[in-house]
Amino acid sequence: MRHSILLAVVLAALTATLCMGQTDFTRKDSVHFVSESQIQFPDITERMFLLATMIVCMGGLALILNAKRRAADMRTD
Amino acid sequence: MPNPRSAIRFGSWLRERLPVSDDVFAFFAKKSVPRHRHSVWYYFGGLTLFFLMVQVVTGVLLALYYKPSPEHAHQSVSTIINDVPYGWLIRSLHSWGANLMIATLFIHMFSAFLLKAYRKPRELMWLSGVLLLFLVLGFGFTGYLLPWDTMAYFATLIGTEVPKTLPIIGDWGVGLLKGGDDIGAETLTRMYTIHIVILPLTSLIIVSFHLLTNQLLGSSMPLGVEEKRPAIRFFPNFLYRDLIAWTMGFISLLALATLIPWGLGERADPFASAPLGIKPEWYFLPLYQTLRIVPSTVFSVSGEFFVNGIVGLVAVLWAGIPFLDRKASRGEKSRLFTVLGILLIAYLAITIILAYAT
Amino acid sequence: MYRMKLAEAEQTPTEARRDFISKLLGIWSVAVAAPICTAILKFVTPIIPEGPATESIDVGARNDIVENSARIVRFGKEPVILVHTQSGQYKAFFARCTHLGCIVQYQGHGIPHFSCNCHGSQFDINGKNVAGPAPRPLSPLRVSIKETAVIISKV
Repeated sequence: MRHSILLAVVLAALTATLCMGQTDFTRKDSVHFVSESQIQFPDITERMFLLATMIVCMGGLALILNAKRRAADMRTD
Repeated sequence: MPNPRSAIRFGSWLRERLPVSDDVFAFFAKKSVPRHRHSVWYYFGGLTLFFLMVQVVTGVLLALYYKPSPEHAHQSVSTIINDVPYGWLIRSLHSWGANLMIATLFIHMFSAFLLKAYRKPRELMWLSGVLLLFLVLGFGFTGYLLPWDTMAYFATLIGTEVPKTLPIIGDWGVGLLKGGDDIGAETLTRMYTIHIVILPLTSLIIVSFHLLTNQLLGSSMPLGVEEKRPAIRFFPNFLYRDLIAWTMGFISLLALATLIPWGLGERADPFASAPLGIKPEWYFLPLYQTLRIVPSTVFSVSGEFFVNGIVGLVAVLWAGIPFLDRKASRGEKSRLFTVLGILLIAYLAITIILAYAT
Repeated sequence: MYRMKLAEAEQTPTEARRDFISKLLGIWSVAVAAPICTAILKFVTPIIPEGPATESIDVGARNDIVENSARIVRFGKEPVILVHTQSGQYKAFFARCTHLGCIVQYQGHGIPHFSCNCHGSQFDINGKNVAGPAPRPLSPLRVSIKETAVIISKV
């Protein structure tokens, strides 16, 4: 069971890495200049997707760190 | 998990070649953090350090593409945002990161002040902290010019006019910053060098000292608070808590950078009129708003000179707080300084709000 | 290895859980770092703009180059050496030495040839590598004369 979880994480990481390598967040489908200086940002949906992915990654990290913290506290208390 | 046997072998390989005595490890291991109802404030110093590290990483990445000349600066930032993969994100992380770092620094500084963490024996910790405040504000000021857009140019123009009224060193000091009479190519090169070389090296030294004093003296216990629960060991217990706080901070930064990406104004035209509503960044607004309120002549000196004088005085008093607050040094409650601190925070907050509202 | 496996089997549930969480932290950290590093790698990899390929250039009046001399001209992004030989012919070659890319120069004295100052390679008047470490001849270009103008184009 535990090995399955670890394996799932490894596969997810590989998938994420491949996606990151292939995705071009500078691709702009709609031309939307932000200001007179002619800058563009990726579509809002792409940015939301990126943020959601990072929240899952960082949030998961925080949860695991919390588990480590609880384990460390139990040892010393 | 690495094989413990090989980890132990590698450990002893290192110990033979880097003979660090056990005392050094014991020194670092014994650090603990007091646990009481105000413990939450202990996180903000580390959070400021975390954001500083984010600035260093994103700053180095940006420096690979940024070109520090008036002809190319704006275009290079535009290229980073439009053409470089993830450039928009790295740039936004850097701009938002600066703001978050300064915000956490203020929270850290004011919480340390109100909890009287500056009292003996932590005077040097406080002094190095105040120095770091000025260094970080310097980072903000020098970095702001680099995109060379309208806001950046005029903010720097205004910002470098103010210190001119300082006696003796005013004109010379401003000339040193500007590299001449105007804001131009010389200014940009100097600001860039200050931003990526001088300030980082100086900060590295001062931050190391600040952290060393924290290691040697531990975190301060607020006056009148009893330690009912045992202190938290730093390794690994508090470190895990710190890392969780950093992860939350990073998520906040990512949210800001992705949902409200940092923009870029039009390229600076030194001969255009100053744009409507020109203001510095929020952390310089108290100074800006104060200059707006003070009349042009006060006590037969110029308004700017008067404000410079007051700000200079406040800065010196702020740095000297550990030596002025005698009661706190003796371990007694000092309401006067608490009230003064709250008044200062209120003044800063009100001037920032007024500057945006009017 | 067998001893390790035995030790694992003898772990208490608490120890097993601690071990799993430690492993999970390690793998998750790498899992998060990998896409971040990929993004950073994409960021630092330079973008090489694809300009339109240059097919030919007009170098100007044929009288501008004296006999037995040469000139380096820009062909798109590449340097090209245009020679007006002793016998009145025009020859052009991509000027990068085929060894490590230094720009060659024309030597009109003695037997006319091209030489590279970086590592001593030498090419004859037809671009063939005759001495030094250069592995291949210089790539030639076609030179044509239109009225008085010299036109260099790809072969």
